Parts: sequence; C-alpha cells; structure tokens
Amino acid sequence: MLNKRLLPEDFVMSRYGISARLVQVEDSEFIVRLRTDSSLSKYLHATDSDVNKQKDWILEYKKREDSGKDYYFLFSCGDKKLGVSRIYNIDGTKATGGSWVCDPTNLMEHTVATLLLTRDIFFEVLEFPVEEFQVSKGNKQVLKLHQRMGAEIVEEKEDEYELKLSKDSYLKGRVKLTKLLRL
Amino acid sequence: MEIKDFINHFEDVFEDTDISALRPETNFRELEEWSSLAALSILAMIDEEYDVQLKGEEMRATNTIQELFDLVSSKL
Repeated sequence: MLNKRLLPEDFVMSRYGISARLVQVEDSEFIVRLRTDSSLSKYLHATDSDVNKQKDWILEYKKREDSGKDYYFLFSCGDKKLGVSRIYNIDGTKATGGSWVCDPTNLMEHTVATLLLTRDIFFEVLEFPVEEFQVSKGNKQVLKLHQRMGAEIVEEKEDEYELKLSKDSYLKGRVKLTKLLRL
Repeated sequence: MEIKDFINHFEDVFEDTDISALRPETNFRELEEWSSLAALSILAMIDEEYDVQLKGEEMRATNTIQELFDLVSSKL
C-alpha cells in the first residue's frame, strides 16, 4: 500500500474559538518550553531542552507527515499558542492520539477545546473509527477528561491505563462538554 | 445548601489535597492540584450536584471556596 499524505501541508481547522495547524520547525521553542515545564513534564516522555534537537525532531517528523504516518498539531487562539497534540502510529484505519500538552496558563475552555479539535480531526477529517491511547495512572484530571469524552479503560498496566474511544461515544461526550463549557 | 457538603464535593476533585487544606477561605487557585482541568471538574461538579450551570468567566471571578459557594447559592 502506497503511503501518502492524509492532510495537506497547509492544513488548518478552526472550531470552538481556536485553530489547529500542523507543527513547523519554528514551533520548536514553544514545544520545548511546554514539554520541559515542571508542572507538565511529570507525565510526558522526557524531552531534551535543546531547541536545536527539537528542530531536528520536527524535520524528521515531517517525513512521517508526508507519508501519512504522523500528524502533529499546534493550537492557537489569535496570536497565543495554546498547546500541541499528535495523531500518530497511523496504519490503515488504526491510529493513536497523544503528546497532548497545553500551556498551563490557558483558560480551561481553550485547553479542552484543543483535545476536542484533535478528536474532531481524528474522527471526522481522518475518519478513523476508534482511538486507542494510554494515560499515566497519576494523571487523574487528564483521565477524567478523556472519560468525560466517552473513553473507556480497557486495560490496566502497572503505571498506565489503556483506553479506547469510539466515534459514537466521542460524539455523545462532545455534546455534553461543549454544552458545559459553552463552546 | 451547606458549605460543608460543597467542600466535600471539592475534595472529590482535589483527591490528593488534604481535606484540612479545603476551608471556606481557601484560595482554590493556589492549591497545588489546581489546573485548567481541575477547573473543568469543579464546573462539572457544580452542574451535576447542584444543577447550576456557571459560565467560565463567572467562575474565574471567584477566588475562594466561600466565594464560589456563594455564587452557586445565588443561582439556586
């Protein structure tokens, strides 16, 4: 099966008062700042604080973007960058969501909107049927949010939960969350 | 509506915070567990337990548990 781009290089999607676009090399400093923030990094894979290494990582990621394997999004509201997330390990109709991290100074509406928009892209634009992902056990508020969106724990491991989220469950969860936050 | 019960619901959100730290005069934004997602959980708790739908900006105008309690009470 030939690998091909699933999203155009200039992909942009706007909803809930925010916008998503694909990550670029110039986002490196923002991404390093987020991923090395002491209040956020606890549940993330370790990231080198060297911005040049992040730039190299993004250049390498761009090859996976071209071949339809990995999409890394940057969310913003006007000029303010809000956070990032990824849809990766794309293989046919299977994909994983993750690398979701947001600026801790965001309004709660914006932080939640970044995850909603990621899932709108996942289920509506890319048309994947089910999202499979992991959450660290200590990351309680994040776990609660995923469950509010309809995700279910399917396996418990030593340090993390495996979750699944179907499109139907997500659409029901989205109705409740957008109503709660008036998005 | 009793503030004691409101604080108990707060404790359900701030699971890792000692209940003794949750008092009416507590500035909840200064709690170590405070985050935008904790704010969402509080908003959802108020909706589910008290059937009160607060706007985000209304909640952001409060700082202490007492102030938030008074806001919710005013809408019952």
